[in-house]
Amino acid sequence: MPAESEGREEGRFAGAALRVGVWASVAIMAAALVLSVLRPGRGETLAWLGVAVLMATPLLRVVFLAAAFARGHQWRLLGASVTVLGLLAAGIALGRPH
Amino acid sequence: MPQEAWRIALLLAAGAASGVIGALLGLGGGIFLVPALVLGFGVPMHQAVAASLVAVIATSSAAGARNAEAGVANVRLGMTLETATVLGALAGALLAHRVSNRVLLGLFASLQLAVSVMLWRRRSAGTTAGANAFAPAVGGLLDGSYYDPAQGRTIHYSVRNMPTALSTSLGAGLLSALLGVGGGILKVPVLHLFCGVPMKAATATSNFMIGVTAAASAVVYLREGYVPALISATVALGVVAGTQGGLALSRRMSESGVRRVFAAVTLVMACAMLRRVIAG
Repeated sequence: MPAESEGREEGRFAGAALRVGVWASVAIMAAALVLSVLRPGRGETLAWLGVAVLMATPLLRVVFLAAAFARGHQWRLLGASVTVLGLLAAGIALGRPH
Repeated sequence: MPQEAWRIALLLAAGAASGVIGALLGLGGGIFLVPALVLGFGVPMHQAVAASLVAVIATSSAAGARNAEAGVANVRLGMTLETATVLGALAGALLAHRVSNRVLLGLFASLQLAVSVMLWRRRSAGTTAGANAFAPAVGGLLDGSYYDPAQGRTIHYSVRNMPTALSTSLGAGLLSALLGVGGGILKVPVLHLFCGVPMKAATATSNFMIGVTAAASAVVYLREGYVPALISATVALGVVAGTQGGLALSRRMSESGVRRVFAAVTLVMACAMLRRVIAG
């Protein structure tokens, strides 16, 4: 059984990363919608930025968790985090651009 | 109101409705959002799946933050299973562009039929333990515990049967990437029934993982030009708002009545999707 305090700290790390990412992307996407309504066709770039921040949020969460696992000397879990990051990077490289 | 503003308002409403329904039924919004975009807004299937994946990231991240901080989501188990879901998601996303619109529509309709039957037949999941839940902790790296206010005590559990959990996660990642859903429909029952994870922790852990799974496939869709930015941003905002509303509503409503209504709605949507498959 993992020490309860260790598990809680990892949860806090992950929660903080997700919270920051979600609220930042929600704010940007809401601004994009307002701009699109006021000036049709002008909110697209901002919408892209909001979507990009949102897509980066889970990645940020994995990085934060990797840091928490490293701090707690949880090498197997750190290995799992690095594997996931590697796979996400492979996804970026493997998609065929149109 | 100009046409663009109407379209944005309707997309926002579709996202919000999917979020409310998803929260009421304990499902991701994707199962309702994809058909709403395809049937209601004429969005091509691949783009609808991509937009739904973006919305799935938003809801999973918002709920995941709460569940991780509260300790209900088993962060260690989630991180370990993500190696499999992300692998499945990459395979699914790379496969998706080789699959025709029609085949994807057919696969989605099949999933809807399965969900419809499951919603109709499912008894209230409650907090019933899985076969091995509440067994004495054996000191495993992935074992978990959380405080359950309904029972007024801390629940400890040991995670078992990891090969089953990993292979199911691989399948859930594939399903998520191909159809724009979260994949919890596969993971939650397996974690609960075969791996000894209590229902609440299984649902929270699955939800926590879904964001990373969806992000893995969403970046492939993005590279391939399938992510419609404004549509995705609009429905994601709607789904986030709808999910919050749905969660508030679910505390005041009986689940069983709602479930049967949406089982029927899902069946009707599945028939509409199948009609489109037949029409070509």
